[in-house]
Amino acid sequence: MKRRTLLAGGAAATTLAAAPLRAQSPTEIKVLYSIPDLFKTLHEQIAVEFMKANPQYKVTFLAPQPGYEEVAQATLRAAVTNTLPDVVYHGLNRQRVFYDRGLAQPLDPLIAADPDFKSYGHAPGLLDIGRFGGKQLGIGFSVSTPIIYYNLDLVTKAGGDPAALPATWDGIFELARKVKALGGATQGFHFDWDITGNWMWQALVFSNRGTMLTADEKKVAFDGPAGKTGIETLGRMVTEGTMRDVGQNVSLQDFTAGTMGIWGHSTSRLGGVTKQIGDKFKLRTGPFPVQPDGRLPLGGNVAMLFAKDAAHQKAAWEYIKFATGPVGATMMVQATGYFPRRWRRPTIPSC
Amino acid sequence: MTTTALTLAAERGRRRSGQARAEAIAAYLLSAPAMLCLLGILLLPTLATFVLSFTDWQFGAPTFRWIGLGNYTQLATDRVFWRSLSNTVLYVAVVVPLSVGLGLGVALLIEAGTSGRAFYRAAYFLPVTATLIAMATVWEIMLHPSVGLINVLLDGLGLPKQNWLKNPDLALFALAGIGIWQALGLNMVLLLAGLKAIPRDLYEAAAIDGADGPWTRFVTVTLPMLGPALSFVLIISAIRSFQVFDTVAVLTEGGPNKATEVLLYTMYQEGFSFFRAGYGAAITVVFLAFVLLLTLIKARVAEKRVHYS
Amino acid sequence: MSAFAAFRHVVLAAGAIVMLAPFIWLLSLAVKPADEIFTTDLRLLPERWDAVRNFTEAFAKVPLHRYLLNGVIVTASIFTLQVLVALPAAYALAKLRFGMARPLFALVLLGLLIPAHVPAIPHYIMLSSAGLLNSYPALILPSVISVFGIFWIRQFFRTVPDDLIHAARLDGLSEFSIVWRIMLPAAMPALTAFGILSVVFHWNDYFWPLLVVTSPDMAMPALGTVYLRNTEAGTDYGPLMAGTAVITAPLVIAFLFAQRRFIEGMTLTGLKG
Repeated sequence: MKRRTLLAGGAAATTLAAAPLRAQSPTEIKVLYSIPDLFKTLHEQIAVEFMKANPQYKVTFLAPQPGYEEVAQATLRAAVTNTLPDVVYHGLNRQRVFYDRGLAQPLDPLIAADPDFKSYGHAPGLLDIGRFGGKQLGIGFSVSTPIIYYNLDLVTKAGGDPAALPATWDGIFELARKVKALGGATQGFHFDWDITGNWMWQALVFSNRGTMLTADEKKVAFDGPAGKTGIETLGRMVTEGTMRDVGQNVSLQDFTAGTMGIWGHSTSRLGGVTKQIGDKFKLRTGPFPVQPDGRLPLGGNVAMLFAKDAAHQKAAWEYIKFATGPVGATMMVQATGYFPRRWRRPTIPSC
Repeated sequence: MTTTALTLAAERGRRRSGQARAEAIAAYLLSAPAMLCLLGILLLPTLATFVLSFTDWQFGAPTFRWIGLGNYTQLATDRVFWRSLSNTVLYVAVVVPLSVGLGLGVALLIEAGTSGRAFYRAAYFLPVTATLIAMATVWEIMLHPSVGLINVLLDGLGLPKQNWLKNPDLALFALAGIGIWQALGLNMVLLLAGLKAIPRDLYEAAAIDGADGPWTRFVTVTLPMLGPALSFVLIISAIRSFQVFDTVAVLTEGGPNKATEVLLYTMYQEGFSFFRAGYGAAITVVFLAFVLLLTLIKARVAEKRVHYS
Repeated sequence: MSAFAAFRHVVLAAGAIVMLAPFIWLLSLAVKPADEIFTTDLRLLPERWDAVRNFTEAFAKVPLHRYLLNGVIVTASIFTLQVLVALPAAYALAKLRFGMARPLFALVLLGLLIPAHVPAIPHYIMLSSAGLLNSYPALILPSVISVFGIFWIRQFFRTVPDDLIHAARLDGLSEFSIVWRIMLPAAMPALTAFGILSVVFHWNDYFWPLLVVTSPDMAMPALGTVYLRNTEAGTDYGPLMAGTAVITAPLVIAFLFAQRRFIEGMTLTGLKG
């Protein structure tokens, strides 16, 4: 009798002692992102800070995919094999697939139940780019636009005016020809038209006052005058702008090595490129030529929620708030060239 | 007396049949794991691939339909598939003769002298064991259009620099070059074994008959004796290069414009990137058919080798 | 040195340089800083050594040690299981009489005709339904059956004298003990060659890990190289080359130490097809 009560007491005591230990095993948040050469260090830093502030959560990263197309692929495959991560960073132009297939979890119920959310101060624009069918599916993590990078040393050497960078394609092509005429291995100009999602092609269309689809999304609209101008501009880049047929890797290497004068790319690389260039040459960015009333498409990615059970949804929501919130954004701006969250430029989302 | 002998004989017989049964039982137990794995991991899944190729199943879809030869008729009109197949055949047609021919040349040269054999053998064989994906990354840098080693050397020789991996006319050949680099050592080693197996007295006999020069010796003794080994190596090389995947997946992803699209890569794309499991299975069956053909030729060639020796 | 000997060395050496060039260049780039990598000045040794930064960057960016560890764990597990499955069966096929001997061997020969990629889609489906994707079982299980192993070891066993086995039976050993106490040691030469073939193939395999692995911790060496490549894409080739050198090193070093065995083992790919 006595021994049994002792044993029972002992068992109860051990269970009580173990209970808080068991409850403390952190909830795992699985995160998937892409473009690791831009974002790996940043995401890892954000995760470290988040886990410091929230020791009850543990962020683990799946192997990052090379780009937005691949991460969309990987998510679809994960949906099919029932191995969806909790949070995935998708390209702006890839959200639609997950809305159409009902795979992305709407954030509205979590926002409604969260009194803290307003205090994070997310700019309305960051929320707008993630709204589909009246539901909040993604929150903007990093946003960028097309821009023109200039190697001022080469520009000056070629006789251009560093204080008056060209604002039209003609101006850019003329400057490019001058830079190329410097000879040797120097290249004049490159335009990364092969950036994911045909984004730079969209830039050419939007900047010429066009759109991809008609407003009812039933017909193609980029075959109009804006599109024609866009295609002609692309052609002129080669015939008048000295552009060669090389990939993004090559143009990035050429520019950071200081052998290319003008480079059309995304603001996303600004931070990384500045670091790589160091004091090799003077770097300046200039505006992407836009017609009056023309616009530029946004690029970048949003954080989307895929976790289905309540516990993981809550954990993932805290993480999403943190990563897209003030702390995450500050780290982002320092690491890359993406905008600080409170941007005000009037742009339209790429679709 | 006779009864005892008969009883003893019956006893022995019973023991032997008892032994035979014990032996059989032991054999079944010993081979059971292999039998189960063979069926469950190799044969049934292969059968499943066949069966899958007659459906339109997509990964994750809750249902599928039997479409008979539907996938195959679609393959027959699929431009990408035909491009893929022809690219693969072209790749094999470039890699096999060159890697075997060069392998033979190297083997002959190594055998022709005595110094440095171990070193040369190791040097030529090293690429065979190295991780191809890793070395492909190095090749990519060496093939860089402006600062790659290859182009800098070409430039030094006064030849124009080439955009090896982005030029649709050159990309497949650049990959074939890497394939030859990797396969040469294996072919060389197999041919070395074949060369060593040629009896010395044949050369002496030929010398007595007046066939003394190196070229004549090669043509009258080496080549005929090496014939079976050579055919064997050619076929093996063909089977291996037909299965090219790694370099395509990492360096070109089938591009530019499907210039380097190969059969296994198409199977991977259709089956796992586009989730068309049924279609991917059909491509796998075509792939299997080709490899089977090559393997059966190999079996015939191998038989001849046995008869020769 | 005779003219021919000189000619032989010149040609072989020139070829050897081409064969070894990527390895030499790999090491050269792994110790150079970025600006010396992107230059048309060809130089074997760097002006400024950046090896420390390149290698520490590589290890910091991706879990290189994990890729190598997985390589060891997975290839060792696969080979061990292959032997556990194949050796007894090979013995049974070579030395024992039983009804299923012929059909089983016919199935083994049939299996030899099937390239590794053919059952890939069903394997993926099976593992996915079992919830086993992205795990060691996913990397190991499909390769546990090696029909080539069964075939190769059986051929070898047929050359082992029957008296050895009869003597063991007379000593009272069970067939099971015979397999592991007598046949296994006797098969060492065949097993060494087969082992090298198996380990090299699975260490270098890219196709299957590409399909089943999604987290960096489970990556195998070849897949790990691609992860490293994605992380350094186009920006920092020094660490990329440093990491690649680390991943390539184990097999290269093993080869240099055991050349004859490696060559013996790899020539089996000829029989394996």
